[in-house]
Amino acid sequence: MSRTLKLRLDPLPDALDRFEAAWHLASGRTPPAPLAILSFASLPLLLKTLTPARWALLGRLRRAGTVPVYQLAKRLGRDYKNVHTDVARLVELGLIEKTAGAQVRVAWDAVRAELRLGQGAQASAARADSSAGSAQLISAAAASARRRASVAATSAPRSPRPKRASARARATTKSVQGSGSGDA
Amino acid sequence: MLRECVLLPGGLRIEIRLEARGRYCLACLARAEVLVRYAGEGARHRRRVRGREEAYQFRSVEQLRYDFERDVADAQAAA
Repeated sequence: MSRTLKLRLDPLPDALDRFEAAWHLASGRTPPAPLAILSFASLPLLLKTLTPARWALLGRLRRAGTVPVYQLAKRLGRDYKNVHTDVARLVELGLIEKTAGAQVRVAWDAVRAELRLGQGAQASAARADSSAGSAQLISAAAASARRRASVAATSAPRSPRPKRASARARATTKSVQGSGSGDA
Repeated sequence: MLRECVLLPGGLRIEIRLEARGRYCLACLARAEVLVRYAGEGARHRRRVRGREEAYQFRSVEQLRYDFERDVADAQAAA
C-alpha cells in the first residue's frame, strides 16, 4: 500500500476543521480514508524548513532504505553533525522515522504538495484532488471554515462555541460523505 | 485515520491525530517540549497545560477544539 504525505500551506484553523470533519465522519457509518498531512502556516516557513539540502537528504535516504545517520552523512558527503540536525528536524515533522538500532528511513513513498494561491482556490483544489479521502475531509473542512467565520463574526472572543454549530458541522460532514474516493 | 502536523511561526508545532475507536491527540510542542496536550480514548480524556496534567471533561469535539485553540493561543503569547 502506497503511503503518501500531503504537503499543504494551511493555517491552524484549517487543520482543526479537518480534525472536526474527520471526527464526525468517524462517528458515522463510513470512516474517512487514512490521511496524513504536513501543513505550514506560510510559504517562507515551508522554504525555511524544507531546504534544498533536506530535500536532497530525503531523496538519498529514500534510495538508501534504512540506514544509520552516520552512513547517510557519508553517502551525502556532508558533515555528520549537520546531517544529524537535519534528520532530527525531519523526524519531528514526521517525514523520517527512527527504527530499531538507531537507524532512520523515509516514512513515505511519496510527498504531494498543494500550494494554494488564495482562499478561493480551496474548493476547486479539493474537487481536483481525486486521489484522496482527503477530498472528503478537505471539502468538509472548507465548509466548516466558512461556517466558523460566520460564527466568529457574531461571537465574543472567549465565549464557548455555540451548540448549533455542532449540529451544523455534523450536517455538513454528512453531506460530503461519499464525495471522496479511497486512498491509503 | 487522520494524522496532521502543522508548523507555526516561532518554532511551535501542532500535532493532530485521530485514530479508530475515538482515540485522539491534539498537541502543541516547542521542539520536544509539550506545551499543550489533549488526548483521549473512549470516556477517558486528559489535558496537559503548562506541565500539569488533569482530567478533561469532554463535551463535544467543537468544545475540545475551542479549548485547545485557546490554550495554544495562551502558549503562543507566553512564548
